[in-house]
This record gives sequence, C-alpha cells and structure tokens, in this order.
Amino acid sequence: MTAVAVADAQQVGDAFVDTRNIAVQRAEHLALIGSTDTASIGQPLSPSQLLLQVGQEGRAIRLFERTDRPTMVPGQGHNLARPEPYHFDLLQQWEGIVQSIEGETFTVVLHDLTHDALEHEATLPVEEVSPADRKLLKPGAVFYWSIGYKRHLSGQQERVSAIRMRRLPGWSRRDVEAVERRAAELEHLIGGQASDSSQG
Amino acid sequence: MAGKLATPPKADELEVSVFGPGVGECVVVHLGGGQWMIVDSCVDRSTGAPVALQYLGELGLKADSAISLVVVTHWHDDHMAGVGGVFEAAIQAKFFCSAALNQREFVQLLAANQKVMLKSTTAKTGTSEFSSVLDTLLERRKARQRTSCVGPEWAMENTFIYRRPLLDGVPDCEILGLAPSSASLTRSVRGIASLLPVAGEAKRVAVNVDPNDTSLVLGFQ
Repeated sequence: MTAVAVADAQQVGDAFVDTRNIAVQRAEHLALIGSTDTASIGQPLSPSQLLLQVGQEGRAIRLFERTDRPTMVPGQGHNLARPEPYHFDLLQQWEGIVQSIEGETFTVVLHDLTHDALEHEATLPVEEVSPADRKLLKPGAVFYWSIGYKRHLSGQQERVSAIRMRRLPGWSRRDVEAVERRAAELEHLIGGQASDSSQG
Repeated sequence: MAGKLATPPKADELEVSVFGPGVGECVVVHLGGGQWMIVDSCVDRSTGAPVALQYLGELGLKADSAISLVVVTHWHDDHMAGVGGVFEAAIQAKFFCSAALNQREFVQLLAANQKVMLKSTTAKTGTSEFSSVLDTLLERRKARQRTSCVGPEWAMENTFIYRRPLLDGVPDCEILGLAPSSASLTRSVRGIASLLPVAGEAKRVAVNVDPNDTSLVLGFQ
C-alpha cells in the first residue's frame, strides 16, 4: 500500500462505520485510490483490521470511528451514516408554542403553517416528543409538528407525526444588555407620552 | 359573530356585545351618545380581522370616530389578538391597560419578545400586539394627530376610566376599575420578572403567567 493510500485512509477514516460491508466499500475505495494494493478488494475488513494493515506500512495513523454524524464518501452517492433515503409528503404542519406542562401532557397553541391562519389550542402527550427533545419542553418553547407520509425508495409508505422542538439560540449577555437598553428607550418614550397627556 | 344588526343602538341605549371562542373575548360596549368602548380583542377566523372593527363596520359606523376607549385587561395572547389593528383604526381613542404593566419588568418583556421571531407571521403574541399599540401611540405623538394625546393610561382599583354626566337625554355613565389592587401589582412584578431573559438560557416566547395578578377588572354603571 502506498503512502498515497495511507493519506487517503486518513481522509476517509472519519467515515468508517462498524459494519463489515461498509468496511469493504472503504477498502475498495482505498485500493482504487492507491492503485498498488489490490489484496483488500472484495475482502471484508473491519476498521480495526484496516488500521492494522495500514499501520504495517510503517505510518502512524489515527482512525476515527464516528458513526453519529452524516458523512459522504466520494463517488458513493449517498450518505452512509443516514438511514435509507425517503421522500416526505407533508400534509400538515403547525408551529406551536408550549403554554404549560402538566405531568404527562403539555398544553400548546398551534398556528397552522399549511393552510390558513387558524389557531388551535391542544393538549398533547409528552411521549409525542422524542426523548432527546424533552429537555427543551418548557413554557414558551417553540416547536414544529408535521404530519405526512414517508415514502421509502423500496415503495413502503408510512404515516408519520413528528414533533421537533425549535432550538432557539440562548440569550447572550449582549442580548440581555440590548433588551435592557431597548426597555429603557421604551420607558422614556412612554414617559414622554404621559407628559403630553398632562399638557393635553 | 353574532347576528348582523342593520342599525346601531340609539343614543340612550346601552349595548354590550361579547365576541370570542370562550377563552379570550372581545367586549364591544356602546357607552351611549354614539361612543364605544372596546375591551380586549379577538379576530375573525375566516378573515383574520378584529371582530370589533367588523362589527362596527356592519353597523355602518366608522372606527376612527366611534371608538372612544380601547382597553386591554391584560397582555395574554388570547385577549390581545388584533388589538394593535383596533387601536390603529381608533385614532380618537384613549388606550387603557392595567397599571400592573406600568413597570420596568413589563417593558423589558416587550423588548425581549421582539428578539424571538416566529415562522408563522399570523402568530402574534400578546406582547407583540402591545408593542404594536405602543408604536401607534409613538407615531401619533410624533405626528401630533391627537391634541388630547393620552396613553397608555394605567388603570387599577378605584380608578375611573370614563365618566359622562347626563346630557341631552343620554344617560350618565361611569366606568370604574375594580382590580388590580396594590397588592396584586406587587405580586404581578414577580410573575413578569420570571419571564425575563437570563444569559445562557434558551430564548422562549413569553406565555401566560398564572395566577394572573395583572388583570384589569372594570365596573360599569
């Protein structure tokens, strides 16, 4: 295996996932780029085996197994770390604002983003929110509720209802200071009106 | 909306019309003598227009001359929908709200809410409607559209917001604030302060605080 191949191994190393099939695809890719080592083509190699093989070439290399983020492999055409691609037909979407949380349910005001300006109040079960998003479930939090059909390339179709909490940026110290400045301006302006009224 | 009336009430007739879905209402009151008071606001589902303006329009009245008072009892979303539009149209009206809102914390809440934008343009919050009213007041102040410029006027218990003597056959009329009390004012500061931004915390929309110590209650006679 050439030094070029080693370099490429490092480059694609971020995309390794711990499955044998994908390791083969990476090995093929590696071999094609390196052009001198065809021994690994078609042979299932785990990332650690590949690391060993590359390491035997006398080069220090760090191999990262990061399966938690979307990555692409040149020429492969789809994302290895994502689930099977699908098409989503959106039927209905609301923007919601959490009003209160009562145990296993939460009360929201929903604004229709799909059809018209209708506003609804609703009570939803907390379990509708994914566990990862539940820590964001607080009064005043904004979320999007989408209902539609998820169509897989295989032809399968499923109806989906998904709530995604909007991740608004946190208040920075600068934001808070800006709010206080604006509040002082408003107070001054309102005070100015009060003066006018006494004269009027 | 209630049945459409072809004619407005007579000068000496009191009329009280309540509009709304049951949570958050708009009360349209004929005070006599062709003067009207709008308390809180909600919008027509199909048109999105404030129901108070629609109703007066159906009676053949013009908001700019008919509305004398626009009152908001408190700042919660379900009482404020469309109030910015009502006050903008009511160019002769005074604007009254609870004295509990005449505090630094509430103004900070208004300023903070302007930094939390929503995707749905129709989703105006109570604080954004209140800001809209303030903007209108400031524009009028600049343009000197009203010689008897007032507002916001702060009301609480034992505050008269309207008094008219018997005149030309039109009965006398008084509207008196029954709440909030001074004790409620103190408690309301705590409730509003709990909604203010804190560095490091996620931005959120200001939502209703319970118990609602800010609300203005009016007596009418």
